Amino acid sequence: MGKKNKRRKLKRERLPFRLNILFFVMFIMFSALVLQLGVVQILKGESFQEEIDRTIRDTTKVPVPRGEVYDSNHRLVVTNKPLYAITYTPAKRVQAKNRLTVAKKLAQLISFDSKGISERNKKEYWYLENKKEAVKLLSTEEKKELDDTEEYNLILERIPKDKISDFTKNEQKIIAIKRELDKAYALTPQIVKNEGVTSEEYAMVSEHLSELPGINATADWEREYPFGDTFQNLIGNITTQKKGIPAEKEEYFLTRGYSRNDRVGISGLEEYYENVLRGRKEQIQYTTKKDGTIVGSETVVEGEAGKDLVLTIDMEFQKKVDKVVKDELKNIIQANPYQHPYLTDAIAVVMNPKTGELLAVSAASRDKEKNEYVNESYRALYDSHLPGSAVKGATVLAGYESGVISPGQSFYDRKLKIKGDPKRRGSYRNLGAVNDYDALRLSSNVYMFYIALKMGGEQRNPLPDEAKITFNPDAWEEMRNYFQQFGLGASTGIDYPYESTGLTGENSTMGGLFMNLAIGQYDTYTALQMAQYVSTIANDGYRIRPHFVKEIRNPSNSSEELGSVYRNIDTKILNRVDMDQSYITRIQEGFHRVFHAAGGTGVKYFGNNEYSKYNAAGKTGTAENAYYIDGKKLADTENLSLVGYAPYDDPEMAFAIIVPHTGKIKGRYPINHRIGQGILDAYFETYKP
Amino acid sequence: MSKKQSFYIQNDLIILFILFVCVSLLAIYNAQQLDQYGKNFVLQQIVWFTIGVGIVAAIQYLDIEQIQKASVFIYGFGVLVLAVLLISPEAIAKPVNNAKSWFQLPGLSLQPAEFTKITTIIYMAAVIHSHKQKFERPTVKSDILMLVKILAVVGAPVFLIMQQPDFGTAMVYLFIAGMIIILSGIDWKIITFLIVSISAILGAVLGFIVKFPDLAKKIVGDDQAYQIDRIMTWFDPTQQTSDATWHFDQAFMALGSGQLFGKGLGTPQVNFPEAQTDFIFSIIGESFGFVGSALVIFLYFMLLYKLVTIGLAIYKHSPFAAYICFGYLSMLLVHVFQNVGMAIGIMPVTGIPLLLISYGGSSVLSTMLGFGVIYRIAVENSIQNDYLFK
Repeated sequence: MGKKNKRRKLKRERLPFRLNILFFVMFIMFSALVLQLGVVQILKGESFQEEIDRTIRDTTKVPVPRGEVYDSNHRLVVTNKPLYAITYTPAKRVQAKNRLTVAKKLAQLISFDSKGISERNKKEYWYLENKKEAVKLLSTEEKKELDDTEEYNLILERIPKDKISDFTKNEQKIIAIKRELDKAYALTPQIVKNEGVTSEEYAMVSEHLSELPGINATADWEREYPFGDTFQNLIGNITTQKKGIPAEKEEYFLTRGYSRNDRVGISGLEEYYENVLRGRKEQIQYTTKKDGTIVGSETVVEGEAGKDLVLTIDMEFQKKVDKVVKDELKNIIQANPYQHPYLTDAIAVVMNPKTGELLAVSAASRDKEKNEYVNESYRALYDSHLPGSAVKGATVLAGYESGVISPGQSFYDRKLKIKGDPKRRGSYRNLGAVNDYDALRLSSNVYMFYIALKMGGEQRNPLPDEAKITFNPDAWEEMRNYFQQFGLGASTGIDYPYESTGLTGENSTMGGLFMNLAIGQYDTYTALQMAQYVSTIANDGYRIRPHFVKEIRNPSNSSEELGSVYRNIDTKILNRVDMDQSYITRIQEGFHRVFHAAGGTGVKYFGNNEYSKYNAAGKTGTAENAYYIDGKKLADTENLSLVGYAPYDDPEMAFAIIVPHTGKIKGRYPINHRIGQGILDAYFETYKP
Repeated sequence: MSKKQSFYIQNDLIILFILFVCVSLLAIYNAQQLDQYGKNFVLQQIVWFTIGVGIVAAIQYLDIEQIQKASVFIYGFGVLVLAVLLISPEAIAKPVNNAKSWFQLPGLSLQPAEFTKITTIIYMAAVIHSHKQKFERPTVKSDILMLVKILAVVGAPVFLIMQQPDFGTAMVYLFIAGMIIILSGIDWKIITFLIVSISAILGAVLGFIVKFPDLAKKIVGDDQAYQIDRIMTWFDPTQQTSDATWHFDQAFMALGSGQLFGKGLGTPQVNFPEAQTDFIFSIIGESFGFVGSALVIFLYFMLLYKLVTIGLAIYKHSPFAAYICFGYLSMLLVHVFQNVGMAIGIMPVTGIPLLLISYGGSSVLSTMLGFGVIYRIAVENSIQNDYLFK
């Protein structure tokens, strides 16, 4: 074999040699693939599977209708008016452009008010529709420097006005719909439209659900009040879907399983009974793949509509009391149209003294400028006023219990002149010798002053004129402690999110001010506290918690009858006043004399006319209460008050009335008594026909 | 069956092909369970395979010599189509992901670059064949001439594909050309020089990109900036934005969660786009586990091995045919390594299908076109061997 051939042979064999190398390399490459495959699947596989399993489930809560409110006769007071609603429940990771697609389809099916779309909404729309053009609004440097959000915002800023100025009606509609869709949180239903959804729209959307990912057609609800404004402002309000849970209590609600756009009670009974009215949400567990597509759903917790409330209030009675209060307020003003410039409110509370069931809570308020009378019944709980002599029952009891007077004790009622006082202080006239019964019947201030003086350590009887009195300020605590046992100056414990406990004046070292406290001229109380006070006396010293709600009922399945009772709100005794029963009986007798014995301050209205048949007992009151604005006295006005209960021997209703800032005139229209009469009439007409 | 006919039954190739069809259909069926596109891809893929088998059968009527003679024309036609694609209006060639790679006709989309892979391989083989006939005794000069010829042949389509632009596919062409150059018998020294200089340039470019990504983006322009990002990701996966890695992470998790034996048919748990095309291997991994995936890799290895043996055997009769085998082998190799490597996280993310398994008319038909030629070569090989032993 020649040299040439050998060379040639070498050349020839290049191919197999190189192929062998290539094949070897291939083998190495494929081995590397298999090796890495093993690492990924066998070594790390388990952790991947764990990640898949971990992220696969989500629970969504679907709101249920809120509980309804019934009155004591099972008449509907608050109900839910169903509304068709179109909702949007986005999956996870839904992009803006997907929402736009949904908005476009939805725009073909429903009408939508495009009012109020902002420039930004329009720009966002334009951006999505003209992405290529939009990107050109940025220079290369800017793209380099800015992050995605900054870029996006800058682009929006730079979109020329003329680009977004002439959208068609339909485009504006799409923009408005998209704006609603954008508000939704992943997996949480958001109302897109719930006002004015016609049944056609509802049907159209329902039919096209498959083309509208995330969209659902449901029934939402609206609170409806068949009795109008009667009792409505005590029911309170709930937030709108738009507002959702109030920001200041976000944490509170979120930890209790609420969603951000849930409607919650924010005042009144809606707030107080939120946790029963809300019901139990249906919980649906969505099985979601890692990218957010929903592959299955399962109801984990069956939903249950909110529980219903049954009020202690009889709406017919409430309506009558509302009317009495409003009419009498009108009457007093009409009687002397120019003499009551500062009179705006008349307030009344009626409750069952034995059970604490509130029977009517009313307040009429005059809007002087519009000359309108509005129902503002919450004032019975919110506004506190000087009660005047109505508290004297508590003062006398404090006197007995502290030992400074004994039952039957007399004092000589004549004007007292204490050193340092600018003028004499006394009753409306000198009453002469009065015992405890007389003191109540005739409303003796001086009797109360003696109780106060003695409690303060001043034991002289009679007190000489221009005497410098001794006064131990510890008496403030002592007296208020007795008052609080009746609810005066204490929380009544009502089932309501807010009540005023009244204003407490400072514990002055001046005995004169303490004497004012004894006649209801110092601390202020709400009408509700006054009602609790008189109820406590009527109820032999047992202070009962007032309540609006009698029963909580399970949601009913039929519209005919209420559901079963879930919980009864039982009578709750807050305390028994720390006093001898015989003392209380004396006060009851005293109160009875106010209305029925000759000379009693209430006899004219409740004793010797057709009202005597109700056999009521009570105490009248007039408090001097000058009207101040910014510390400047504008006028001397008086608060007229009345507390009472009936029938005297077996009290079933107690009431408290207060009308602040009436003009101080002679022969004034006796609004407190007229309201009292009206309430008694209404009560016995309604409950004892 | 006559003896002549029996040459046409190439058992190994037929068995391999059937196995691939089975894997493909099972994998696509599983990907379809994710129900992302609402189409029956399995049925469509069966149609593609059926047409493909028709093409394979048709090719058997051709002679190797005929193919060799026609190679210049089909190559020229391929390049022409690529050029036409670039100047086609958007109505028939709508850009997908910013790249104008597809003819989009109603009911049919075609990616010409897939088909021109085969035509380019065939013509490269023809060029090498004729070059070897002309220069029976290769010199440095002739080797360089051949190198230039090969680069010219591959250069035309690569240039056009870069204009689409489709960086990944262009790289596939270059890889095939590189393999052919190595196997063409060009002197090691030249190849070494070539490899060293290309590596140096590539290294410099990549180094530049990694060091100065922003500057690199500016040079390639806005439309291509994402390519830079991809390269960046390859070097530093943490750099990528969440949305960009999300797709890969999903697929990677799916594959990993298959563990040793997979989750079986019909139960994919992880959703990610392109599961039936570029990310089909992730589905295979999830459904059939390590065992199944490794078997698929082994299946490819067997096919490549078969191509090596056919190429080596036919070389003495027809270098042209042999180089077609090697070119086809290179194409499969780069596709498989890149695609599987991407799915298991050792290669960057590019839109390259897993040939013979991924769903898609263009890739199936072009692969079957090449397979048809290979089959014809195998038949020819059997015939030649028959002569030899007569």
